[in-house]
Amino acid sequence: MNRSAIMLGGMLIWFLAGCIISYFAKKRTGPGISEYFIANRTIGGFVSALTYSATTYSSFMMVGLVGMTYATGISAMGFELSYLMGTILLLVLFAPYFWTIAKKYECISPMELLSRVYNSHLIGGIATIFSLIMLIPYMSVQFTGIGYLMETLTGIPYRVSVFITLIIILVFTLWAGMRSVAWTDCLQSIIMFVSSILLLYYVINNFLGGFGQFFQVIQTEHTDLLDANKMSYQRFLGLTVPWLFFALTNPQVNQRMFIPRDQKSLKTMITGFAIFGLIYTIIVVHLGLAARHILLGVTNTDLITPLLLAKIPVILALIVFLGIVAASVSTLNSIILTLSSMCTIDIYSQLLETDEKKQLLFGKIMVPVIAVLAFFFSLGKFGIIVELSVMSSAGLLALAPSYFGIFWPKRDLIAALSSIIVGGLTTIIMYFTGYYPLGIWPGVWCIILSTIIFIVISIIRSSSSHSYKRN
Amino acid sequence: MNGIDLKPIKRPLIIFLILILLSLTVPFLLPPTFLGAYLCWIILSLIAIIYGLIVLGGSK
Repeated sequence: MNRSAIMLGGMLIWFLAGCIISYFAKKRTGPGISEYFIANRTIGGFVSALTYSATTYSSFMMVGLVGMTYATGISAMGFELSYLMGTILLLVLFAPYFWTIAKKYECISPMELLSRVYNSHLIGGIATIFSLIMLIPYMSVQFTGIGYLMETLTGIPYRVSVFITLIIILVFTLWAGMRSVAWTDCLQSIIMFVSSILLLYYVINNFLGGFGQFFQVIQTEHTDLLDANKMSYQRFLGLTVPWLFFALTNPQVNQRMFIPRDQKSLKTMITGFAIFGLIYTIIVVHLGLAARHILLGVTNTDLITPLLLAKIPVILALIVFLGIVAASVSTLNSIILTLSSMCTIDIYSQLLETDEKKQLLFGKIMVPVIAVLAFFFSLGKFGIIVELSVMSSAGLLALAPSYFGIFWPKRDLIAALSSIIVGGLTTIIMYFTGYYPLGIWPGVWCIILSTIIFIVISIIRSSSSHSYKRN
Repeated sequence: MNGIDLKPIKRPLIIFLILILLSLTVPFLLPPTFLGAYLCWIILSLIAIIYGLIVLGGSK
């Protein structure tokens, strides 16, 4: 049996396993919109932890971060671990509040929470459109990643590979909504975790003579990789700052704060994610360091992982390949489900007065609509897509002040809308013009600008409303 | 909604912010060895996780 056939066979088994999980999720899924989009807040701690991890960590880890470490050494680890610390902060300190507020107001989508707090559906609608603009290109990059990897490893043409990915995602998502996504995410996260451990173990033992030797080789022959300054500090900050707020500003992970069944499950989710994140990041970074010794002179760092896969036994390559596909699929289906819940709750049900049954139908229609939109974007292979996806995490930062404003009595709707629109547009303009004032990356400008706008307008409007009341 | 009492998270928030600030600065001053920036980032992450677990364990 040749390499391509083994890859395809393995993928088929993985897909069937996912279908079986999805089928049982469907059997457990009750009626109603809350059940479909957030599993009626009944997900246990362990499953919540795994779906949170699988949603957060996309194929960027095994492809992008391995390549980034290969090129810039441990500064890539610093960026990813700083992000992890930021996420732990947000989850430990704010997730219990978000969970409580969302439950109290029966919020299903993250933007619905904003609408409730700011007493206006306008903010939910604008934030939804903004998230769609930012996340569809990001999703298409996930499609593109799987398409190229599948084409390289199985020989299936790119367009067919991307289409197969679309079908897999629709099966895992459409059938039973959040419960199916959460349960299949468990499978994906286990594959991601196990495959990365196996790959690291094999690579270190077979190419570097064991872990003791590995540290010695990197220390003596590739000292530059251990220099935190190998990546420019401005780039480091430009990458890290947007990611510090990822747990809050990216709706697909934000919505996961709503799904645990109780506070105890929420705590288990946070603990599980923190441990998963630390171990997974360290494994991936060490793969990048090891790759530097194994593969010399590779300029396109996105090729590091595929080149490593070509050097390892086919069964291991299959497991790692499935790990990467699983990472992309779990991120994609979560984004699609969350965006469809936002379109349903924050736009459709605000424009038309319909019953829950029609809302659910609309939500189920939006799942393939959003998935197909991202699919067509990925077929286009527009150069603009990459820039848009890089921009997405920075642009979504404009939502951060509005979320933090939930805890500030002086928060104001106009301030929130202004900060989202001005912060978001500034990021888009900076990315497209390439003009970074003072050399500071757009994400950093976005959070500075949107925070100042939010605070200043809120204070002005709060004091003017007080003086109006006094008069 | 205005009645959210944020006092309990003030102290942990400051500690977390210090840890993140350290992560964004100190490793860049350390030598390029496994005992330098590499170890510093891992230790800071471990402290953040362990402290997070302590805060979680203590919250109602």
